[in-house]
Order: sequence, then C-alpha cells, then structure tokens
Amino acid sequence: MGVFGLAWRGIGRRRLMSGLTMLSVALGVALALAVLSLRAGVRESYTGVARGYDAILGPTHGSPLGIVLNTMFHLGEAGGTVPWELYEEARNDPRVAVAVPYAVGDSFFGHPVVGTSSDLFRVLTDRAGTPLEQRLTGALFEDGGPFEAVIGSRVLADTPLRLGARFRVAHGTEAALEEHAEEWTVVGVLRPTGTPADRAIYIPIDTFYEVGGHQRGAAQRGGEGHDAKEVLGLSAVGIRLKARILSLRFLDEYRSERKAAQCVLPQDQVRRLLDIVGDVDRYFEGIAWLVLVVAGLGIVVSLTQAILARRREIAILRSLGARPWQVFAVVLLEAELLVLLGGVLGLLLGHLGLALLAPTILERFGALVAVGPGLADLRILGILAAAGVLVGWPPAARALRVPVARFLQAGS
Amino acid sequence: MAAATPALRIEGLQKGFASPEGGRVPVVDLPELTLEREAALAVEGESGSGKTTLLHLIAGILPADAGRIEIGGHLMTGLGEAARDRLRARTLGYLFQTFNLLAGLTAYENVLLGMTFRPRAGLAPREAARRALERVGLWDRRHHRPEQLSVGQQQRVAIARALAGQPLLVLADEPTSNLDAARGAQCMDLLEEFCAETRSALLVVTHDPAVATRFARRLVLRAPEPEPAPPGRG
Repeated sequence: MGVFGLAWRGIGRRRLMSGLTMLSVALGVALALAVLSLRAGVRESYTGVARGYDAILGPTHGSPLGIVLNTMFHLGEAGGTVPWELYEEARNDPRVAVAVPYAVGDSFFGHPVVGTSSDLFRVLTDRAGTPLEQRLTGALFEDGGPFEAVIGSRVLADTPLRLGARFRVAHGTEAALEEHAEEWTVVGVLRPTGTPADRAIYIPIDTFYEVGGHQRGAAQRGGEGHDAKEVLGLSAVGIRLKARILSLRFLDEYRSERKAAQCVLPQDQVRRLLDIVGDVDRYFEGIAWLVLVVAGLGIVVSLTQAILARRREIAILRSLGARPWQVFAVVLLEAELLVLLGGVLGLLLGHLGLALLAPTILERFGALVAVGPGLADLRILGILAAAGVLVGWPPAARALRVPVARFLQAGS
Repeated sequence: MAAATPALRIEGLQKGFASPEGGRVPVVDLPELTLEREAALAVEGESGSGKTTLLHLIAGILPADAGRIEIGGHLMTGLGEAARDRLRARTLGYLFQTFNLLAGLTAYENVLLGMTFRPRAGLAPREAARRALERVGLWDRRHHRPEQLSVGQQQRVAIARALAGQPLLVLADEPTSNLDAARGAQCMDLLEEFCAETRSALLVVTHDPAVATRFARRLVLRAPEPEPAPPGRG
C-alpha cells in the first residue's frame, strides 16, 4: 500500500468523477490527434499530388489556382483552352521530360472524363510514389487507338462500370446532360491510389476529338475540314521537366514570350491554397487544445473537491506516519494518473477513429491520414505528463495544509 | 536506544489554544509523567480536560508550547513536522475513538497502510499485517471494506493496524466509546493481550470507569482553567 496504491485507490473511490475527468481528457486528446493527423494527411495529399507536374500550361484567362485544381484535382471547370501547338512545342522542348495533354468537359455519373495520353500513367503516382501504370489492373489504353478507357477505383465503386464494360459519356460535367453516341470499353482499372485519379475516367485524347458532338462543335467554330484538335485545343498541358530546378526559368520564359497560354507552378498554387485553408485548421487545433485545457481545469476542480472531502483521510494518513511529501505525492500522482490514463485512452480512441474513418477520408477528400501510433503519440503523452504536474500541484499543495489534529477528531 | 529508557517521558508539558476573545486558553499542563516499557496507564478526565490534546502532543500531531516529550528516549518536542512524522511512524501505534479506517481500502490494506510509512524492521509488512489480522481473528474478513464490517470488527481492524508494527507505545483514544459494554470489555482484553505480546506500552485515554478500573495505574487530568477549551476538542 504505497503512494502509488493509495493514488490508485483514490481514483477507484471516486469512480464516476475520475471516469468523467478521464473521458474529458481522452476526448480532448482524441480531437487533437484527429485534427493534427487530418491536417497532416490533407496537406501531404495535396502537396503530394501537386508534385506530379513541375509546371502546367493552362488557358490565359484562367485563374492559376483554378488551372491546378482542374488539371490535377479534377475540380471545377477549365477556364478556356490551350492551343494544340503548344503541346507539340512542349513535347519537343529539350528541357521537358514529359508533356501530358488534358482535354476535359465530359463526365460519366458525375465522374470527370479526362482525355489524355498514356504518358500520364508514367508521370503521375499514387500516394506511395508508385507510378499509376503499376497500379493498373487490366491494360492501358492505346494512344490514338480505339475507344478504350482506364477508370479509377472510386468510379469502379460508384458506377456500374467494370473491366470490359462499355459506356457512353455525357457532354458537360453535370449528370444527365446530352449523351455522346460513342461507346468506350473499360480496359483498365486503377487500384486505390489516394489521389484524384481514383475519381477519374481516362480516355485517349484522340478519341476525345473523334466524338461526333465535339467535331460538330469544332465545325461550327472553325469550319469544315479543320482538325478538331486544332480548333478545340486542350484544357491544359502537364509538364514534367528533366530537372525540377528549371521550372522557374520555364515560368519566366512563358511569361515574357506572351504565349497563348499561361504557365503555373502547381506546388506554388497548392501552397497558397493550404495557407488559406491553414487558418481554418488552426482553429480546429485551437479548439482541441481548449478542450484539453477545460479537461485540465476539471481535474483541478475534481481533485480540490476531493481533497476537501478527504481531509480526514489525509489526517489519518499523517497520523499513521505519512510524511507531508507522501500525502502531496499521492494527490499529485492521482492527477498524473488521470491525465495519462485519459491520454492513453484518447490516443486509442483517436487512432481507432482515424482507422475507421480513414477509408472514408481517402474516398471523400483523397487524403491518406496516418493511422498507426507513432512518435507523435509519445510527444503528446510527454506534454500531458507535464500538464498533469501542473493540474495536480494546486490540490496537492492544499493537501499539505490540512490541519491533522482537527480532522482526526471529526466524526466518521 | 538504551533498554532502560522509559517508553514515554513527559516534563513540564504545556499547550494552549488561542481563544476567540484573543487570549490563550491553556488545555494541557502536565508537570511530569513517566511510562515504563511494556507498562500500561489509563488517563481519565472530563470532556475538555485535554485528554485528546495530550495524545496529539505525545504523537507529535500537535507541537507543544513548552516542555519535553521523549518516546523511547527520542525527543518528540522541538522536532520539525517531518521529523515528528518519522518518529511517530517508527515508535507509535494510534487507536482512535472513531477508528479512522480508510473507507476505500480493505481490512488487510488498512493494516498494511499502518506499515507503509514506518522503516522496514523485522517482519516484512505483508507478513506483519497478516499476523496482526490473524491475531484479531479477522484474517477471513481481510478483503472486506470497513463499511462491510460490524463496529466491533472495525475496532479490531484498527487494533491490528495500531499493533502490526509492534510499536513501542500504543496510544488509545476512548477505544470503547463506540461499543457496548460487553464488546468494550472484549476490545480491552484484546488490546491488553496484544500489547503484552508485542511488548508495547499502552496509554489509554477514557472517561469510562469500566475501562479505567482495569488499570493499576491511573492518571486523572483536569482542565488547567475552570473554563473548558474551545469546542471540538475531547
């Protein structure tokens, strides 16, 4: 029955109060853990996706962030077109390793249909850095070939499309619009990647231009006899340079030469976006810390109250020869145990919650959150241990001042 | 410590409390008292005669205003609070009128608690606690908490706690006042026999003549002043 045993019994005696206090610590910790993990996961997923290209050529009048979101995240609409020649030019640029064309605007069950080349699957990767072509079940479509398609994992989950299925796409990005007459066949399915590729349907860019609806549009604008490619142009071109360090020079050159497209650096744009979003998740983090502070105050209140109720018990301990510091230690240890047990419970809850929510978060936000316990947990426990001393000190100091003789006499 | 030193020696002990009117109310004024080792003494007195305060002074729970208290040759008066706690843990067993068992702990843990704060000497604490509980006949109830025990059983746990560490001196504060006459007598029998076995001196404070008359040696305390001490003190 040492100091530790007494502290443990003290917690057990006030089971309800201790339980509630521990729960509030646990909730605060779980919330903090969830917010921090989500933030890290979202940030990492956005910056990870943005690393796919060193530069993007987009419509002159589009917003830089809009171009990045439309091209790399399949969000929003293309704000115009980029001339086909610029794609050809980029492909022949000695500094460019790979140029990937994008033609967007069609959809299937709300999923974006992206006309592109097979280069995309060699340049872009999943969250772990594996090229998409190695995450493929089935085959890649053939450039310039037949009406074939590769679909992402979410498309497989949300639509009737399966390997070998044939489908038509709708013109426009909203569901139930005018349908094109052409039919594509699914030849490949991407396993979940944790990137926007999960939501996309990729088709060879040539088939995009062969669609009757698009050709009619081209004819109206450019007249009969022109190549639809040249009339319609592209939504964007993704550029992977041979050396990333060249990207700023590439950008400057595009700006100074006043070409018919603007060059944006996706990593800059995503950083800017996260700076805006960052304020919001800082609020969440603040709330999590606030919950922890309230939980800490709860411990101070609960233990101080317990001390008032237990002055006789403290007096008995002293009469049995317990030194003042031992009484102090019992109370401090109680606070420490409440905080740490609550903390461990909170970490368990947090990790469990993240593990349960991770698939949904991956699907809905394309963010892969760290689920497993890590060094960050030890840091949280370290902070909590220090906080435990802080909240245990005032009631422990109170226990020191209990007048022993008076409370030994108080009736039982 | 030399075997010749008495279990308790008091000289010129004085203690008073501040009165609400601003003066001091003397509560204890004891010129001399010696209790030899393994001896027994009953201290009688009316309410307010300072009996409990005397026990608190001997146990070092309260500091004295003047005078000397020696326990087994060790000076209690003049020590700091922590040193008094240590000396108390090492030499004294305390038996309370209200038993003062800890409600959250089992009988066994309560007895063990009495051993927790004393320096390890002789028996291991667990073994000592077991023997003490066996001695008072409650080993089979060792896992019961105080509220699950009868009043008489609670007092026996308290006796086991006070004597498990084989203290030099046992201080008992009205040990029978919560018991009926028959149980009170049984309790005193147990206490005296156990003290004899552990070779502890025994100082019993009581206002119960049935208890006091058991003792060959009796001391009658009177309040130093006609007016009683502040309320709330035995």
